[in-house]
Amino acid sequence: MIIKINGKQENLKGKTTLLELIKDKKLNSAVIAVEYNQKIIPKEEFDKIILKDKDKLEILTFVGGG
Amino acid sequence: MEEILEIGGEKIDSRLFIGTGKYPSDKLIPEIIEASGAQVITVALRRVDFNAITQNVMQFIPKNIKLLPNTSGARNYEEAVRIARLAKAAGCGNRIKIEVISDNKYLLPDGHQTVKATEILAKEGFIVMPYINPDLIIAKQLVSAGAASVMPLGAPIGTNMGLKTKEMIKILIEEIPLPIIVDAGIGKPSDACEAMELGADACLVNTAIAASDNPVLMAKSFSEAISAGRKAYLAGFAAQQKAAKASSPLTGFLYE
Repeated sequence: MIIKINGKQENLKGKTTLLELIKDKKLNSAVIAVEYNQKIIPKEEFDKIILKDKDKLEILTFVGGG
Repeated sequence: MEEILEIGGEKIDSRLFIGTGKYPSDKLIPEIIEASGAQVITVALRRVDFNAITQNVMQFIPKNIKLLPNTSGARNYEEAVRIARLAKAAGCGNRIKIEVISDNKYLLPDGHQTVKATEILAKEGFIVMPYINPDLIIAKQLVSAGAASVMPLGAPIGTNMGLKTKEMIKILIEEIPLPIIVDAGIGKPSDACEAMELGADACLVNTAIAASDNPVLMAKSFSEAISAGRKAYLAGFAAQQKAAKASSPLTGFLYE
């Protein structure tokens, strides 16, 4: 299935939850926010989201700023 | 002297807020925090860069620090609201510095959009700290919208030009019943000291520290300048005179 992560298409194989994807990408859940099909997902629900074809994810984190 | 800044019901010990952008290395941040004594620190939110995820600015920020995420990148109130909600979901707490900018040359904030975003986010329980041009009317609207403080600019972001808007900031200090935090444009510790002498409640400094040749020493200097300016404001200034007024009595000379 093809999903979009931060504007870029990505091909995922098999059934994957959002939490698994985050771990695969070696991201630290503590410092990210996720919008799944334009809806903000609380961290404790990352494992409840099962990704499907054409999903859109925005994964954000903190950077330096003033 | 016991006098503590309070914003949105939270007590804040240091009147110097610092940004985390533009440092030669984020590894400097813990030292900067210590030297500045800052308790409130700003961060921004961006898409994860999958090619550089080994480091995150958050790993350099101690847990006891109050994070103030900004909505930089927002061009209208909808985007600001979206970024604020994401920052909260990311685990930043409910403080938010609203920054709505559509002008790319001077990075000047859009007051009307800022008021709209403030209204929505304050209702959602955020401690909203909007970045604005020092415009009294916008500031009054922000008070009605539920802002927790007002953050007027001294000069455009990153310019280090100092308090170019001094007279307008003075009006906000006199008229607005919220903490006034001078943000943007402060280039030198003397600028920050002057803002505090005017009666500003705090200053937010980023570029002037981060782009100094010695950011740690500059952080210390800003901390001292802000502390000095605040004390001077509390002490009250002696009146100015046109003609000289001797400091010693003009009698009792030896030749009398």
